[in-house]
Amino acid sequence: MIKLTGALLVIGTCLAFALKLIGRQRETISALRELDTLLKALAQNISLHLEPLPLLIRRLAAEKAASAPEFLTRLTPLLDEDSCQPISPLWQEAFSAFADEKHLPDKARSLMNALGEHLGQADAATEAERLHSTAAEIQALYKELEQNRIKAEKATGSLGVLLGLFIVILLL
Amino acid sequence: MNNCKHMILQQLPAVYRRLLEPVSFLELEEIRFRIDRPVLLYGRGGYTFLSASGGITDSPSAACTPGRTDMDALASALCTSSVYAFLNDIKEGFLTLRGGHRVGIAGKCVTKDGAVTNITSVSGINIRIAKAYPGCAAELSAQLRTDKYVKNTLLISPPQCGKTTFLRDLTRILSAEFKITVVDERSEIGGSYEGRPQFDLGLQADVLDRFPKAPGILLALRSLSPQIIVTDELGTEADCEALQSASCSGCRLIASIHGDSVRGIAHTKGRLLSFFDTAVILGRRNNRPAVLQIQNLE
Repeated sequence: MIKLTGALLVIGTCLAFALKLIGRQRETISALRELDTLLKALAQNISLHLEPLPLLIRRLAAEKAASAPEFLTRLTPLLDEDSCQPISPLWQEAFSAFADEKHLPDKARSLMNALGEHLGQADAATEAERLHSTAAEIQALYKELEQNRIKAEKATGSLGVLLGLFIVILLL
Repeated sequence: MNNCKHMILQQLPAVYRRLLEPVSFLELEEIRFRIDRPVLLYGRGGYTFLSASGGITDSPSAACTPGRTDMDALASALCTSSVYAFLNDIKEGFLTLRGGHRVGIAGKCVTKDGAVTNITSVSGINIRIAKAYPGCAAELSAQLRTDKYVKNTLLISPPQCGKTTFLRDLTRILSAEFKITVVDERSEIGGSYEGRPQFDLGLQADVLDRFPKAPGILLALRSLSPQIIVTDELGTEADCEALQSASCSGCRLIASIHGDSVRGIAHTKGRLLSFFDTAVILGRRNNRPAVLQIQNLE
Protein backbone atom coordinates (compact mmCIF):
# COMPACT_ATOMS: atom_id res chain seq x y z
CA MET A 1 0.00 0.00 0.00
CA ILE A 2 2.83 2.36 0.89
CA LYS A 3 4.58 1.62 -2.41
CA LEU A 4 1.38 2.23 -4.31
CA THR A 5 0.82 5.56 -2.54
CA GLY A 6 4.43 6.55 -3.27
CA ALA A 7 3.99 5.75 -6.95
CA LEU A 8 0.76 7.73 -6.96
CA LEU A 9 2.51 10.76 -5.51
CA VAL A 10 5.37 10.51 -8.04
CA ILE A 11 3.01 10.21 -10.99
CA GLY A 12 0.86 13.04 -9.61
CA THR A 13 3.88 15.32 -9.31
CA CYS A 14 5.02 14.43 -12.83
CA LEU A 15 1.55 15.15 -14.14
CA ALA A 16 1.39 18.54 -12.42
CA PHE A 17 4.83 19.40 -13.75
CA ALA A 18 3.88 18.30 -17.30
CA LEU A 19 0.67 20.34 -17.16
CA LYS A 20 2.63 23.39 -16.04
CA LEU A 21 5.08 22.90 -18.91
CA ILE A 22 2.27 22.54 -21.40
CA GLY A 23 0.66 25.72 -20.08
CA ARG A 24 3.95 27.55 -20.46
CA GLN A 25 4.37 26.15 -23.96
CA ARG A 26 0.90 27.35 -24.89
CA GLU A 27 1.84 30.82 -23.68
CA THR A 28 5.09 30.75 -25.68
CA ILE A 29 3.30 29.60 -28.82
CA SER A 30 0.67 32.27 -28.45
CA ALA A 31 3.39 34.95 -27.98
CA LEU A 32 5.20 33.72 -31.08
CA ARG A 33 1.97 33.78 -33.07
CA GLU A 34 1.44 37.36 -31.92
CA LEU A 35 4.95 38.28 -33.02
CA ASP A 36 4.41 36.65 -36.40
CA THR A 37 1.25 38.69 -36.95
CA LEU A 38 2.93 41.87 -35.73
CA LEU A 39 5.93 41.48 -38.03
CA LYS A 40 3.64 40.91 -41.00
CA ALA A 41 1.62 44.00 -40.08
CA LEU A 42 4.82 46.05 -39.80
CA ALA A 43 6.01 44.79 -43.20
CA GLN A 44 2.68 45.59 -44.82
CA ASN A 45 2.48 49.07 -43.34
CA ILE A 46 6.07 49.91 -44.21
CA SER A 47 5.49 48.87 -47.82
CA LEU A 48 2.19 50.70 -48.16
CA HIS A 49 2.59 53.84 -46.10
CA LEU A 50 6.34 54.40 -45.65
CA GLU A 51 5.43 55.55 -42.16
CA PRO A 52 8.41 56.15 -39.83
CA LEU A 53 8.78 53.39 -37.22
CA PRO A 54 7.98 55.37 -34.06
CA LEU A 55 4.74 56.65 -35.59
CA LEU A 56 3.87 53.26 -37.06
CA ILE A 57 4.45 51.42 -33.78
CA ARG A 58 2.39 53.97 -31.84
CA ARG A 59 -0.40 53.81 -34.42
CA LEU A 60 -0.54 50.01 -34.44
CA ALA A 61 -0.60 49.97 -30.64
CA ALA A 62 -3.40 52.55 -30.58
CA GLU A 63 -5.45 50.84 -33.30
CA LYS A 64 -5.31 47.46 -31.62
CA ALA A 65 -5.88 49.09 -28.21
CA ALA A 66 -6.84 46.35 -25.76
CA SER A 67 -5.86 43.52 -28.11
CA ALA A 68 -2.47 45.04 -29.03
CA PRO A 69 0.36 42.50 -29.06
CA GLU A 70 2.08 42.57 -25.69
CA PHE A 71 5.43 43.30 -27.29
CA LEU A 72 3.99 46.51 -28.78
CA THR A 73 2.56 47.60 -25.47
CA ARG A 74 6.01 47.13 -23.96
CA LEU A 75 7.77 48.98 -26.77
CA THR A 76 5.42 51.95 -27.10
CA PRO A 77 6.10 53.58 -23.71
CA LEU A 78 9.83 53.49 -24.48
CA LEU A 79 9.30 55.64 -27.57
CA ASP A 80 9.37 58.97 -25.87
CA GLU A 81 7.70 61.48 -28.19
CA ASP A 82 9.99 64.29 -27.09
CA SER A 83 13.23 62.57 -27.89
CA CYS A 84 14.69 60.66 -30.75
CA GLN A 85 16.51 57.68 -29.33
CA PRO A 86 17.66 55.09 -31.85
CA ILE A 87 14.98 52.44 -32.18
CA SER A 88 17.32 49.44 -32.07
CA PRO A 89 18.21 49.46 -28.34
CA LEU A 90 14.59 50.21 -27.42
CA TRP A 91 13.41 47.29 -29.53
CA GLN A 92 15.94 44.99 -27.88
CA GLU A 93 15.11 46.24 -24.38
CA ALA A 94 11.39 45.73 -24.90
CA PHE A 95 11.90 42.34 -26.49
CA SER A 96 14.23 41.09 -23.78
CA ALA A 97 11.61 41.75 -21.09
CA PHE A 98 8.87 40.26 -23.26
CA ALA A 99 10.92 37.15 -24.07
CA ASP A 100 11.76 36.56 -20.39
CA GLU A 101 8.15 36.77 -19.39
CA LYS A 102 6.91 34.54 -22.19
CA HIS A 103 9.80 32.07 -21.90
CA LEU A 104 10.63 32.45 -25.58
CA PRO A 105 13.28 30.09 -26.96
CA ASP A 106 16.79 31.38 -27.66
CA LYS A 107 16.24 31.12 -31.40
CA ALA A 108 13.33 33.57 -31.24
CA ARG A 109 15.44 35.93 -29.16
CA SER A 110 18.32 35.89 -31.60
CA LEU A 111 15.97 36.33 -34.58
CA MET A 112 14.20 39.31 -33.06
CA ASN A 113 17.38 40.92 -31.78
CA ALA A 114 19.03 40.59 -35.19
CA LEU A 115 15.95 42.13 -36.77
CA GLY A 116 15.91 44.98 -34.24
CA GLU A 117 19.58 45.72 -34.79
CA HIS A 118 19.04 46.65 -38.44
CA LEU A 119 15.43 47.76 -38.31
CA GLY A 120 14.73 50.96 -40.22
CA GLN A 121 18.13 51.18 -41.86
CA ALA A 122 17.21 50.08 -45.38
CA ASP A 123 14.72 50.83 -48.11
CA ALA A 124 11.11 49.73 -47.77
CA ALA A 125 11.45 46.61 -49.94
CA THR A 126 14.42 45.33 -47.92
CA GLU A 127 12.71 46.13 -44.63
CA ALA A 128 9.57 44.29 -45.69
CA GLU A 129 11.63 41.32 -46.88
CA ARG A 130 13.54 41.16 -43.57
CA LEU A 131 10.33 41.37 -41.57
CA HIS A 132 8.67 38.67 -43.68
CA SER A 133 11.66 36.35 -43.46
CA THR A 134 11.85 36.77 -39.65
CA ALA A 135 8.10 36.19 -39.47
CA ALA A 136 8.53 32.99 -41.51
CA GLU A 137 11.22 31.73 -39.12
CA ILE A 138 9.09 32.61 -36.11
CA GLN A 139 6.21 30.76 -37.74
CA ALA A 140 8.37 27.66 -38.30
CA LEU A 141 9.45 27.90 -34.68
CA TYR A 142 5.94 27.99 -33.26
CA LYS A 143 4.78 25.22 -35.56
CA GLU A 144 7.59 23.04 -34.22
CA LEU A 145 6.67 23.98 -30.66
CA GLU A 146 3.05 23.26 -31.46
CA GLN A 147 3.95 19.70 -32.52
CA ASN A 148 6.02 19.24 -29.38
CA ARG A 149 3.09 20.47 -27.36
CA ILE A 150 0.73 17.97 -29.00
CA LYS A 151 3.17 15.16 -28.22
CA ALA A 152 3.56 16.39 -24.66
CA GLU A 153 -0.21 16.57 -24.27
CA LYS A 154 -0.54 12.96 -25.46
CA ALA A 155 2.13 11.85 -23.00
CA THR A 156 0.44 13.79 -20.24
CA GLY A 157 -2.86 12.19 -21.17
CA SER A 158 -1.27 8.73 -20.78
CA LEU A 159 0.21 9.80 -17.48
CA GLY A 160 -3.24 10.94 -16.38
CA VAL A 161 -4.73 7.55 -17.32
CA LEU A 162 -1.98 5.80 -15.38
CA LEU A 163 -2.65 7.99 -12.39
CA GLY A 164 -6.35 7.22 -12.66
CA LEU A 165 -5.61 3.46 -12.70
CA PHE A 166 -3.41 3.76 -9.64
CA ILE A 167 -6.12 5.61 -7.80
CA VAL A 168 -8.68 2.93 -8.73
CA ILE A 169 -6.30 0.18 -7.59
CA LEU A 170 -5.64 2.08 -4.39
CA LEU A 171 -9.32 2.46 -3.70
CA LEU A 172 -10.01 -1.22 -4.37
CA MET B 1 10.60 80.74 -31.82
CA ASN B 2 10.83 78.71 -28.63
CA ASN B 3 8.48 76.23 -30.20
CA CYS B 4 10.65 76.12 -33.34
CA LYS B 5 13.74 75.54 -31.20
CA HIS B 6 12.01 72.86 -29.16
CA MET B 7 10.79 71.14 -32.31
CA ILE B 8 14.25 71.06 -33.84
CA LEU B 9 16.00 69.98 -30.65
CA GLN B 10 13.65 67.10 -30.03
CA GLN B 11 14.61 65.67 -33.42
CA LEU B 12 18.33 65.68 -32.57
CA PRO B 13 20.33 63.16 -30.54
CA ALA B 14 20.55 63.92 -26.83
CA VAL B 15 24.13 65.19 -27.03
CA TYR B 16 23.30 67.96 -29.53
CA ARG B 17 20.09 68.78 -27.69
CA ARG B 18 22.16 69.48 -24.61
CA LEU B 19 24.77 71.53 -26.49
CA LEU B 20 22.24 73.60 -28.42
CA GLU B 21 19.94 74.24 -25.48
CA PRO B 22 21.69 77.50 -24.44
CA VAL B 23 21.83 78.78 -28.06
CA SER B 24 19.29 81.41 -29.10
CA PHE B 25 17.44 80.41 -32.28
CA LEU B 26 16.08 83.92 -32.89
CA GLU B 27 18.70 84.93 -35.44
CA LEU B 28 19.90 81.42 -36.26
CA GLU B 29 19.50 80.41 -39.91
CA GLU B 30 21.55 77.26 -40.31
CA ILE B 31 23.29 74.65 -38.18
CA ARG B 32 26.05 72.93 -40.14
CA PHE B 33 27.56 69.65 -39.07
CA ARG B 34 30.59 68.46 -41.00
CA ILE B 35 32.57 65.37 -40.17
CA ASP B 36 35.75 66.16 -38.20
CA ARG B 37 35.02 69.88 -38.46
CA PRO B 38 33.56 72.24 -35.86
CA VAL B 39 29.79 72.65 -35.89
CA LEU B 40 28.92 76.06 -37.35
CA LEU B 41 25.95 78.20 -36.43
CA TYR B 42 25.00 80.66 -39.18
CA GLY B 43 23.02 83.81 -38.59
CA ARG B 44 23.19 87.59 -38.91
CA GLY B 45 25.29 87.19 -42.03
CA GLY B 46 28.13 85.35 -40.27
CA TYR B 47 28.84 82.28 -38.19
CA THR B 48 29.95 81.17 -34.75
CA PHE B 49 30.85 77.72 -33.44
CA LEU B 50 28.87 75.36 -31.27
CA SER B 51 30.87 74.96 -28.09
CA ALA B 52 31.80 71.44 -26.96
CA SER B 53 30.46 72.36 -23.53
CA GLY B 54 27.24 73.88 -24.84
CA GLY B 55 26.30 77.30 -26.17
CA ILE B 56 28.33 79.28 -28.66
CA THR B 57 32.04 80.00 -28.90
CA ASP B 58 34.25 82.02 -31.22
CA SER B 59 37.10 79.57 -30.91
CA PRO B 60 37.16 76.60 -33.31
CA SER B 61 39.37 74.67 -30.91
CA ALA B 62 36.67 74.84 -28.21
CA ALA B 63 33.99 73.80 -30.65
CA CYS B 64 32.13 70.52 -30.82
CA THR B 65 33.57 68.40 -33.65
CA PRO B 66 31.45 65.44 -34.76
CA GLY B 67 33.15 62.23 -35.82
CA ARG B 68 31.89 59.31 -37.89
CA THR B 69 29.74 57.81 -35.12
CA ASP B 70 28.23 61.20 -34.29
CA MET B 71 27.33 61.88 -37.92
CA ASP B 72 25.74 58.43 -38.27
CA ALA B 73 23.78 58.91 -35.05
CA LEU B 74 22.66 62.36 -36.18
CA ALA B 75 21.57 61.11 -39.61
CA SER B 76 19.72 58.20 -38.03
CA ALA B 77 17.99 60.48 -35.52
CA LEU B 78 16.89 62.90 -38.21
CA CYS B 79 15.38 59.95 -40.10
CA THR B 80 13.69 58.79 -36.86
CA SER B 81 15.51 55.48 -37.34
CA SER B 82 13.42 54.90 -40.46
CA VAL B 83 15.58 55.42 -43.54
CA TYR B 84 12.94 53.82 -45.78
CA ALA B 85 10.47 56.56 -44.91
CA PHE B 86 12.83 59.29 -46.09
CA LEU B 87 14.70 57.53 -48.86
CA ASN B 88 12.96 59.39 -51.68
CA ASP B 89 14.08 62.63 -50.07
CA ILE B 90 17.55 61.36 -49.22
CA LYS B 91 18.04 60.55 -52.91
CA GLU B 92 17.41 64.23 -53.57
CA GLY B 93 19.86 65.16 -50.83
CA PHE B 94 17.51 66.51 -48.21
CA LEU B 95 15.03 65.66 -45.48
CA THR B 96 12.19 67.72 -44.10
CA LEU B 97 11.86 67.79 -40.35
CA ARG B 98 8.72 68.35 -38.34
CA GLY B 99 8.19 72.10 -38.46
CA GLY B 100 9.19 72.32 -42.12
CA HIS B 101 12.90 72.66 -41.40
CA ARG B 102 15.03 71.46 -44.28
CA VAL B 103 18.04 69.23 -43.72
CA GLY B 104 20.60 69.10 -46.52
CA ILE B 105 22.78 65.99 -46.67
CA ALA B 106 26.25 65.52 -48.10
CA GLY B 107 27.91 62.13 -48.36
CA LYS B 108 28.78 59.26 -50.60
CA CYS B 109 26.39 58.69 -53.45
CA VAL B 110 25.08 55.21 -54.27
CA THR B 111 23.83 54.89 -57.83
CA LYS B 112 22.04 52.25 -59.83
CA ASP B 113 21.65 52.50 -63.59
CA GLY B 114 22.83 56.07 -63.40
CA ALA B 115 20.22 57.14 -60.85
CA VAL B 116 20.96 58.09 -57.25
CA THR B 117 19.52 55.42 -54.95
CA ASN B 118 20.95 56.51 -51.61
CA ILE B 119 23.47 58.71 -49.83
CA THR B 120 25.68 56.85 -47.37
CA SER B 121 28.74 57.75 -45.26
CA VAL B 122 27.12 61.07 -44.44
CA SER B 123 29.81 63.72 -44.18
CA GLY B 124 27.77 66.89 -43.91
CA ILE B 125 24.37 67.82 -42.50
CA ASN B 126 22.94 71.29 -42.82
CA ILE B 127 19.81 72.11 -40.85
CA ARG B 128 18.13 75.13 -42.40
CA ILE B 129 15.78 76.66 -39.91
CA ALA B 130 12.50 77.49 -41.61
CA LYS B 131 10.97 80.69 -40.41
CA ALA B 132 7.70 82.33 -41.21
CA TYR B 133 7.56 86.10 -41.24
CA PRO B 134 3.82 86.70 -41.41
CA GLY B 135 3.22 89.98 -43.19
CA CYS B 136 6.56 90.14 -44.99
CA ALA B 137 4.78 89.89 -48.36
CA ALA B 138 1.89 92.22 -47.53
CA GLU B 139 3.27 95.09 -49.58
CA LEU B 140 4.29 92.80 -52.42
CA SER B 141 0.89 91.11 -52.58
CA ALA B 142 -0.76 94.50 -53.01
CA GLN B 143 1.60 95.32 -55.85
CA LEU B 144 0.84 92.04 -57.59
CA ARG B 145 -2.91 92.55 -57.60
CA THR B 146 -4.87 93.68 -60.63
CA ASP B 147 -8.57 94.56 -60.54
CA LYS B 148 -9.78 90.98 -60.34
CA TYR B 149 -6.76 88.80 -60.41
CA VAL B 150 -3.16 88.43 -59.40
CA LYS B 151 -0.32 88.81 -61.87
CA ASN B 152 1.56 85.69 -62.91
CA THR B 153 4.61 86.21 -60.75
CA LEU B 154 8.08 84.73 -60.74
CA LEU B 155 10.21 85.25 -57.62
CA ILE B 156 13.91 85.23 -58.49
CA SER B 157 16.75 85.06 -55.98
CA PRO B 158 19.92 83.23 -55.02
CA PRO B 159 19.60 80.69 -52.16
CA GLN B 160 18.83 82.04 -48.68
CA CYS B 161 17.14 85.23 -49.89
CA GLY B 162 13.61 84.33 -48.91
CA LYS B 163 11.93 82.83 -51.99
CA THR B 164 10.10 80.27 -49.92
CA THR B 165 9.35 82.73 -47.12
CA PHE B 166 7.74 85.15 -49.59
CA LEU B 167 5.87 82.38 -51.42
CA ARG B 168 4.51 81.16 -48.10
CA ASP B 169 3.35 84.59 -47.00
CA LEU B 170 1.90 85.44 -50.43
CA THR B 171 -0.08 82.19 -50.25
CA ARG B 172 -1.32 83.02 -46.77
CA ILE B 173 -2.42 86.53 -47.78
CA LEU B 174 -3.94 85.67 -51.15
CA SER B 175 -5.75 82.57 -49.96
CA ALA B 176 -8.11 84.81 -48.04
CA GLU B 177 -9.56 85.72 -51.42
CA PHE B 178 -8.51 83.07 -53.94
CA LYS B 179 -8.52 79.29 -54.10
CA ILE B 180 -4.86 78.34 -54.12
CA THR B 181 -3.12 75.03 -54.73
CA VAL B 182 0.43 74.80 -53.48
CA VAL B 183 2.48 72.21 -55.36
CA ASP B 184 5.06 71.68 -52.66
CA GLU B 185 7.58 69.31 -54.16
CA ARG B 186 10.00 69.48 -51.25
CA SER B 187 7.58 70.25 -48.41
CA GLU B 188 9.22 73.62 -47.99
CA ILE B 189 6.35 76.02 -48.54
CA GLY B 190 3.89 74.32 -46.23
CA GLY B 191 6.51 72.38 -44.29
CA SER B 192 4.04 69.50 -44.14
CA TYR B 193 4.78 66.78 -41.68
CA GLU B 194 2.62 63.68 -41.72
CA GLY B 195 0.20 65.46 -44.05
CA ARG B 196 -0.24 68.52 -41.86
CA PRO B 197 1.20 71.87 -43.05
CA GLN B 198 3.32 73.31 -40.27
CA PHE B 199 2.98 76.87 -41.57
CA ASP B 200 -0.17 78.91 -41.85
CA LEU B 201 -1.10 79.02 -45.53
CA GLY B 202 -4.46 80.66 -45.01
CA LEU B 203 -8.04 79.69 -45.52
CA GLN B 204 -8.26 78.46 -49.09
CA ALA B 205 -4.93 76.76 -49.75
CA ASP B 206 -4.64 73.08 -50.67
CA VAL B 207 -1.19 71.55 -50.42
CA LEU B 208 0.00 68.86 -52.80
CA ASP B 209 2.81 67.69 -50.61
CA ARG B 210 5.90 66.08 -52.22
CA PHE B 211 4.22 66.10 -55.63
CA PRO B 212 6.67 66.54 -58.48
CA LYS B 213 5.83 69.94 -59.97
CA ALA B 214 4.63 68.88 -63.41
CA PRO B 215 2.18 66.12 -62.40
CA GLY B 216 1.19 68.18 -59.34
CA ILE B 217 0.23 71.18 -61.46
CA LEU B 218 -1.74 69.01 -63.86
CA LEU B 219 -3.52 67.21 -61.03
CA ALA B 220 -4.38 70.54 -59.42
CA LEU B 221 -5.88 71.79 -62.68
CA ARG B 222 -7.92 68.61 -63.15
CA SER B 223 -9.29 68.19 -59.69
CA LEU B 224 -8.78 71.14 -57.34
CA SER B 225 -9.98 74.04 -59.53
CA PRO B 226 -7.40 76.50 -58.23
CA GLN B 227 -7.44 80.17 -59.14
CA ILE B 228 -3.76 80.41 -58.30
CA ILE B 229 -1.07 77.72 -58.36
CA VAL B 230 1.96 78.30 -56.17
CA THR B 231 5.13 76.30 -56.61
CA ASP B 232 8.84 76.70 -56.04
CA GLU B 233 12.17 76.15 -57.72
CA LEU B 234 11.12 75.82 -61.33
CA GLY B 235 13.66 74.66 -63.82
CA THR B 236 12.95 71.61 -65.93
CA GLU B 237 11.39 71.27 -69.36
CA ALA B 238 8.53 69.27 -67.79
CA ASP B 239 7.82 72.25 -65.54
CA CYS B 240 7.47 74.42 -68.66
CA GLU B 241 4.93 72.05 -70.18
CA ALA B 242 2.88 72.00 -66.99
CA LEU B 243 3.07 75.80 -66.69
CA GLN B 244 1.81 76.07 -70.23
CA SER B 245 -1.24 73.95 -69.37
CA ALA B 246 -1.87 76.06 -66.28
CA SER B 247 -1.45 79.25 -68.19
CA CYS B 248 -3.90 78.10 -70.93
CA SER B 249 -6.48 77.17 -68.31
CA GLY B 250 -6.63 80.74 -67.02
CA CYS B 251 -5.14 79.78 -63.69
CA ARG B 252 -2.65 82.28 -62.23
CA LEU B 253 0.87 81.24 -61.36
CA ILE B 254 3.17 82.29 -58.57
CA ALA B 255 6.49 80.49 -58.58
CA SER B 256 10.13 80.85 -57.66
CA ILE B 257 13.40 80.11 -59.36
CA HIS B 258 17.07 80.28 -58.43
CA GLY B 259 18.85 83.17 -60.11
CA ASP B 260 19.92 86.72 -59.59
CA SER B 261 18.36 88.62 -62.48
CA VAL B 262 15.77 88.39 -65.22
CA ARG B 263 18.57 88.58 -67.76
CA GLY B 264 20.26 85.55 -66.23
CA ILE B 265 17.02 83.55 -66.31
CA ALA B 266 16.29 84.70 -69.88
CA HIS B 267 19.71 83.44 -70.88
CA THR B 268 19.32 79.94 -69.44
CA LYS B 269 15.57 79.31 -69.13
CA GLY B 270 14.05 81.92 -71.40
CA ARG B 271 10.86 79.96 -72.11
CA LEU B 272 9.86 80.02 -68.46
CA LEU B 273 9.64 83.81 -68.49
CA SER B 274 6.91 83.73 -71.14
CA PHE B 275 4.45 82.38 -68.56
CA PHE B 276 4.86 85.29 -66.16
CA ASP B 277 3.79 88.93 -66.12
CA THR B 278 6.06 90.08 -63.33
CA ALA B 279 9.44 89.13 -61.95
CA VAL B 280 10.27 89.93 -58.36
CA ILE B 281 13.97 90.00 -57.54
CA LEU B 282 14.65 89.12 -53.92
CA GLY B 283 17.81 89.68 -51.95
CA ARG B 284 18.94 90.48 -48.44
CA ARG B 285 18.67 93.84 -46.76
CA ASN B 286 19.87 94.25 -43.16
CA ASN B 287 20.45 90.51 -43.14
CA ARG B 288 16.81 89.84 -43.85
CA PRO B 289 15.09 88.70 -47.06
CA ALA B 290 13.70 91.68 -48.95
CA VAL B 291 12.19 92.66 -52.30
CA LEU B 292 14.93 94.38 -54.30
CA GLN B 293 13.13 95.00 -57.55
CA ILE B 294 9.85 94.32 -59.31
CA GLN B 295 10.17 94.01 -63.06
CA ASN B 296 7.38 93.94 -65.61
CA LEU B 297 7.74 91.08 -68.12
CA GLU B 298 4.72 91.81 -70.31
